[in-house]
Amino acid sequence: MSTELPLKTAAELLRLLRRREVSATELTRAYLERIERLDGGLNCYITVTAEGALRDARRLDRARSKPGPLHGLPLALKDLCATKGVRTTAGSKILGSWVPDFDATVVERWRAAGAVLLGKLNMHELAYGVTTNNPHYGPTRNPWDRARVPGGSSGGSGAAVAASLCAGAIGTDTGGSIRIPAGACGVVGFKPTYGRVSRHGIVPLSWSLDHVGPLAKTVEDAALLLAAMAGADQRDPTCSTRRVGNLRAAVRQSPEGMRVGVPQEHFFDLLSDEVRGAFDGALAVLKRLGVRVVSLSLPSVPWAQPAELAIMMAEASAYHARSLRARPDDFGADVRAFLELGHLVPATTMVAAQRLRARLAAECAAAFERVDALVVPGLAVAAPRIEDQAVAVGGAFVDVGMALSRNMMPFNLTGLPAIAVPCGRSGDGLPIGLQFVGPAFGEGAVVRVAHGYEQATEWHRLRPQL
Amino acid sequence: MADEPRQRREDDPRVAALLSLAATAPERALLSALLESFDALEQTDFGELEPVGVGSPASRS
Repeated sequence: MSTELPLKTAAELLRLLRRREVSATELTRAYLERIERLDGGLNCYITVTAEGALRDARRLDRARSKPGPLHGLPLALKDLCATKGVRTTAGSKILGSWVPDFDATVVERWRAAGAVLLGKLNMHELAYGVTTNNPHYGPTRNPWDRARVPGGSSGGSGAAVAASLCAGAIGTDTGGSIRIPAGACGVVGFKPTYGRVSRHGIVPLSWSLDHVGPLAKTVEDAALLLAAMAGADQRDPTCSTRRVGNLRAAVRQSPEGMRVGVPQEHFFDLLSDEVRGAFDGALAVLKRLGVRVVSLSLPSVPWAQPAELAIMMAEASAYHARSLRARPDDFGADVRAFLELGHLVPATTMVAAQRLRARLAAECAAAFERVDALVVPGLAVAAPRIEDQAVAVGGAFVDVGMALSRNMMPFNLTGLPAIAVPCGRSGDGLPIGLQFVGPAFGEGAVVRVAHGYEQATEWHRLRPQL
Repeated sequence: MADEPRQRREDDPRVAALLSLAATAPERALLSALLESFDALEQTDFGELEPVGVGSPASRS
C-alpha cells in the first residue's frame, strides 16, 4: 500500500489521515522513499529536508490538539520561499548560500495548517524564464518525457506533483510560471488574484506582477491548498483584506447555468492544431454540462505580452541591479541578458505599458459583467525539448519563452485569478491544458467551473509511467 | 514621428552592445523582437486625452 499512497490526490490522503488509516509518518516515509528512488532522473528537488519532515510528521502523529486542514500532508516549496534554517537559493548562485532566519508567510501558514514539508524545489534561475533549464542546479526533466522541459519557472513544482514526489507544491507566477509547468506536466496550477496570497518572504521577480499559488493533482486539491495559504497579511502591503470565501463549497457546486466567455482576439492566433482540437473538445464538454459559452472581445489583449515584458523586465532589473553590478558572472547567460536588457526599457515604453494595463483591466471588468468566467487555451504547444530555443507553431518558428507565456501574461498584467487544467494529450502523449479565468477575487467561480469540467473528463487521472 | 522609438533604439550604443553579446542568432532575434514590440507598444493609440493608467495613488483611495 505504501508505494501507491503518493499516487493519490491530496484530498484522498487527507481523508485517510483523518480516519487514521495512515499516519503522517508512514505517508512521509512513502514520499521520501519515492523521492530517493525517482528524483535522480528528474531533478525536481534542490534540497530534500528528510529529517525535518520526519520529525514534523512524528510530532503531528502525537498531537492531541484539533488537526489543521492539511494535517500530515507532505508538500514541497519552490526554492524561492524563505524557510527558517533551510537554504533558499531561488535557483541561483547569487543566493546559493542564503539560509533565512524566518519563514515566508505561506510557509508559516502551511505549517500551521499541519503540512509536512519535504523540501525545496528546483526552478528557473530567479524565476526569470519558462524552461527550468537551470545552469546551477541542473535541468528539471518532464516526467512524461525526460527529454523535454517541465515548463517554468516553477518547473520543479510541476514535475514533482506530476511524478507524485509531493502531494502538492507552492509555485509563483509572474508571466505564467505556475500555469506553464502545470500545463506542460498535466497537473493543475492555480494563480490566484493579485493580493490574495501574501508574498512576504518570497524572492521577488517583478513586484507588480508576482503571484503565489499552488500546483496540485486536481482542482479540489488546489482549492484546499490555496485556502490554507490565502488571506490578509500586514507584512505584505499589497495583500488584500478581502475575505477568501469558501472554496470547498465552490467545489461542490455544479457549473450548470454558468456563463463562460471565449475572447476572440489573440489566444487562437498562435496555437498548434492539437491544442486547438483539445480546446474545442473542452468547449463541447462544457456545453454538455449546461454551461453557456459565449464569444466576447478584449481588444487590448494582443498588446498584453509586450506590456507585461516591459514592466517585468524593468522591475526585475531594478530589483537585481546591485547584484548585476557586483557579480555579473554569477548569473546564467539567459537571465543576465534579460537583466541587462531591462535597463534599456525606455520610460516612455513603461508609461505605454501601464496605460495598456489599465485599459485591459477595464475591458476584462466589462467582460465580467456578461460572464462568470473566461476560458482560453493554455500553452500554445506541448512541452518543448530541453535543447529547443524555438518551436514550430502556426507555420512559424517562435522563441520557446514567447510561445509558452503568450496566453498567460494577460492575467498577470490584470491580476485576475486563473487556473490551468489538463484537457488533452498530444500525438506524443504529452499533456495539453486550458485556463479558466475569473473576475478579481472571484476564485470561487474559477474553482466551480474548473472542477465541474475536470470531473467530466479523465485527464486528471493520468499518471506518468516512471 | 512614427519611427521615433525605433530610431532612438537604433541610435543607442548600449542596445548595439547588448545585441553583440547575444551568443546565437535566435538570442539576437529574440532581443530584437522584444525591442521592436516595445516600439510598437509605444505607438498604440490610447486616445491622447484619456488619462487611463496614469493616475496618482491618491486617486485610487
